[in-house]
Amino acid sequence: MKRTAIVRAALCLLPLPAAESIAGELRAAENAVMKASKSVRPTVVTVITPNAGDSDQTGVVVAQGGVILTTRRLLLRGGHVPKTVPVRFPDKDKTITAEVLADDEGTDTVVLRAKGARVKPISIGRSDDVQQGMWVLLVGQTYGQGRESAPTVSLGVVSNIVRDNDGPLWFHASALVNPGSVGSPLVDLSGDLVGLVTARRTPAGGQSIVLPFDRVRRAYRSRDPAVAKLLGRPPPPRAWRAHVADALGPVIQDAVRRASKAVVGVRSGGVQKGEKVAAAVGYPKGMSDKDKKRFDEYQKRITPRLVPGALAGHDRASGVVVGADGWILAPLRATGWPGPLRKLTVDFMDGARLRAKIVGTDERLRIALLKVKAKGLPVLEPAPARGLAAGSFVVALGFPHGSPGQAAPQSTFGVVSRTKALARLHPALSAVQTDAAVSGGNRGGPLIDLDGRLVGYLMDVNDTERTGYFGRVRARYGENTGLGFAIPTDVMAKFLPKLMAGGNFASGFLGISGVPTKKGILVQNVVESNSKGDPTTAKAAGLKVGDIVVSVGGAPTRSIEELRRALAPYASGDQVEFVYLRDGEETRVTAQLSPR
Amino acid sequence: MRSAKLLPVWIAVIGVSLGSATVRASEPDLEKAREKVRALEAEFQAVVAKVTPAVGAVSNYHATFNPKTGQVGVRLVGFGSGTVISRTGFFLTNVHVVDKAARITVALSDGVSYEAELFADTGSKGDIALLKLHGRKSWPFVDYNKGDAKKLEPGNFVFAMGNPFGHALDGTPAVTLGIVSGKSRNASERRFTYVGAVQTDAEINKGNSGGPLFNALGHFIGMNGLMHSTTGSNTGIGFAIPINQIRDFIAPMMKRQGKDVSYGYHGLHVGTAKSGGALVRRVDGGSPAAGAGVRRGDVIYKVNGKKVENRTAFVNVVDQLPEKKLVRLSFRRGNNTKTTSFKLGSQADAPRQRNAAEQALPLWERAYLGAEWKQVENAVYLTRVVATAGAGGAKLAAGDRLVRLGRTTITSIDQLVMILSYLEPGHKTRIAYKRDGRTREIGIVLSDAAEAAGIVR
Repeated sequence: MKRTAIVRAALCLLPLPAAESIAGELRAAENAVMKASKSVRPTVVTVITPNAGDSDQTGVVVAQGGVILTTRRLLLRGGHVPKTVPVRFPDKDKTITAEVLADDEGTDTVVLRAKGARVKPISIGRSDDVQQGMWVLLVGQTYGQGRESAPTVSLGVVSNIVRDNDGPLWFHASALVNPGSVGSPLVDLSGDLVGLVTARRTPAGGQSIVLPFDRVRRAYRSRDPAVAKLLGRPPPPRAWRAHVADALGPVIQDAVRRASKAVVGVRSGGVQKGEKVAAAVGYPKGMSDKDKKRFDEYQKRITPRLVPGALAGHDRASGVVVGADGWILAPLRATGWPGPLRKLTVDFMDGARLRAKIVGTDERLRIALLKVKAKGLPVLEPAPARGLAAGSFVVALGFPHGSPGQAAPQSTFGVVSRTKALARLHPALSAVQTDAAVSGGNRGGPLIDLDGRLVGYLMDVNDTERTGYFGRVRARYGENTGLGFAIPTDVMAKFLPKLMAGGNFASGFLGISGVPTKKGILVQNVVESNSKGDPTTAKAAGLKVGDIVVSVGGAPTRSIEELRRALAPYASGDQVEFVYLRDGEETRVTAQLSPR
Repeated sequence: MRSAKLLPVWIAVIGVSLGSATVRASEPDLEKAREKVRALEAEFQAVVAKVTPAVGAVSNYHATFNPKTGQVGVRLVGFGSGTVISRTGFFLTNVHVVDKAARITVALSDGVSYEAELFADTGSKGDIALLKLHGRKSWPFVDYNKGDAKKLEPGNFVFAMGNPFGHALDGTPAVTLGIVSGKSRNASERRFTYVGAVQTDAEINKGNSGGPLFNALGHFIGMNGLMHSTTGSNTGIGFAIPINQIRDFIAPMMKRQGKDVSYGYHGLHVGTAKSGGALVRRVDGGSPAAGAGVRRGDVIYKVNGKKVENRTAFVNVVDQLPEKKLVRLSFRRGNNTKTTSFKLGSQADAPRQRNAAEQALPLWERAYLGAEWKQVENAVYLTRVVATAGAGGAKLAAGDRLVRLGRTTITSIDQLVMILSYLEPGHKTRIAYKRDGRTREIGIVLSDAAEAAGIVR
């Protein structure tokens, strides 16, 4: 006893790093996730799809006697559901043949029975009670990764719910899914089944579309009561616990409720039903007249069915109200600027749609300031900048289709990845980076904290990968990469007056390539003219191969990064001073920044 | 399990969920919920803040050489991430992050970019590289001995830190939160196979490679390096080499500067036996396993005291070990059981085709003529001469025709490049050139290509 005390005292004297135990909530949340994952994983099976080229999918044991629920469409052979389907249970090498009990086209599901499989079924939850913002766990296969071992798990939150009179019709979850996860069960943190993953991509990218389990049960009730009986009854509602696992949902929901009033949908151009698409987006290059005709016909046929925004690619997004008297901030690209302007409108949550005009733009920040004729619009309270750090919890809001419709904005949850990001776009930018899914329509929406206060404006920077350092890497438009960026409110406050005054800012183009040396950038190549055929800044300033650029605008340029930052505050048209070394002699020259 | 006491609260919950946006959770609940989430957030932030100083952003500069003009330089070609693992500045990253680097810099969250050298790595088959940072006496680091990846289970909170898409180049790493999706995964890319990897849904992108994966305690539990993706962006499937596997390499690497510490080579090719175990299909001649008497047809059922039921289990145990580790095998041959042991060899012993290109000196060890050139028919002319280097020192000038280098008559650029690539900096020779119709010959000292390219060594 005494000895332990001495040892302890001695240990205390050692310069140990900060506290080693995770205090309550992180551990409590982790335990809940692990417990749920542990209980669900044995109930998840691999369903072998008949067609080569399709990845195998996932199914879940929902009742005693090996009753399995999975999705239907990949199992079809010649348009028909086969009588039997091979399935593989976790950690077993052999497949078992399961008979098809029933199938339902409406919900795109199949009920199978694998005789002789003694697997404890998954615990059934209440999908009608699913809330926006609550934690969910997706358990399933990924690209057939699960062939030799247990299924994988992914954590996410319910990002929005679409309802009809019968309750939830389907919901999105931000748990990331892949081809193999079709048919995967989605469970809450009690491990109770709430839905089945039916598709993997939505306009919001990377997320799952989940079919509520109660819907499935209702569908079979009318189709095949015997099978419906196998699917059981919904359990009684569960009590809300003052536990961290149950806490995120209500908090996010409340934050979304507070913030959604200032979120708008922004659309420009847009193709009406039957309208010639080419009028809005132009024909693909080098198309013959005959093909143009066919192109128009085809587009006329499919336009009504297309997801809004998918056609013109980038004409719909979200925006944020920044001034009560009709000022709206939106992604530049979504406004159609600078192309021939077609109708630009802003949709409000209350259903109002107003014409908007572009007042100011900043290409460097990729934003446009719009004005609509309105008064007394709701403006969000800014979040205190001081509390924000890597690891802070945030929610990205926006409309996945670029317009509110009836639904609340989609809310994707994440953490702040870092602050002071994207300095190379503008040194004052100091953007907030988050791993909350930002893609497609929720670009331009607000990033909020858990009190519903405004952290920043979500930027449209998906294309940084393309123009950035990795030439080969590109996220397709609308695809989430886990990198979202927001312009902090205090930074935006500095830019707003200039935009309100009608400023249009574009980044300048220097036109050199070079390598960093201790003294500055050694010029290796000079581009003579920009995209418009005008001389580049470098050409105008008389820079030559072999020169060393020492400073730009008074800021030293010892690395490419420093050069970028030195240039970033200037817009094209600004006069900038360059200092360079040629044959050891320092030369100063002032030149006008050319556009790219 | 569901006690009757809680009934009144149930009703409140029904109100919340069915009433969609109109009825919300009662205020006390919301306050409690907010308290819980706030506490969770604060705890997470504290863990992130603790490890941030030890995470670095790696820039990989390649040497460039344009044989058509003779121009040399360095070019920033790639980004990655990594972790400082010792006070003395040892830094862990992926081999593929520092691939073919002529110069490596590491930016830490203090905003400073430090020069780094490649200290040792696993060679071409593995993906573990140890760098040594320069420029400070004492470095912020994370203890690589603390984390235990073996204890991870699906559902454990983990967070990745790093430099996705080169965005965190100023040194402040980006953090992404996720959970362990699976463990003991085998994932492969064209070059590497990760054995026994941790799979996570924490968002990992290009540029996160080499970066650390931490558990909720802030313990270093793996090094991110692979993701499953068809587009180059994240799909929610990332793989990390578990720290336990890396630890076996770190000690020998710290001792062996400039040499490979490769994954072990045994020479066995196995499949799964019907009776359970790993069936030996082929044994490389002269390999360590062959030396220990393992033969085709043997069924291995135990490795280093661990039972192996199939091929995967065998691979999971053996292919994670570094060279020189002792492997004990128990196997069945016919009706007998046998036990044998051998030391793993190096991957360099494995039979493979040597790439001829590897033989020539890399650019940063090559001689530099100190000039750029062009070819006109069968003649090579100088187009630019660097006053301070090789040709400049020998008083050659732009416009001169190169006639001979050493004893070789120069008739093409290819020939010139070939000769230069086999000469070392400081090499003394004679050079013949033709100017104004007259041919002169003069002594020349070739310079250092790396120095000319601006490579810091």
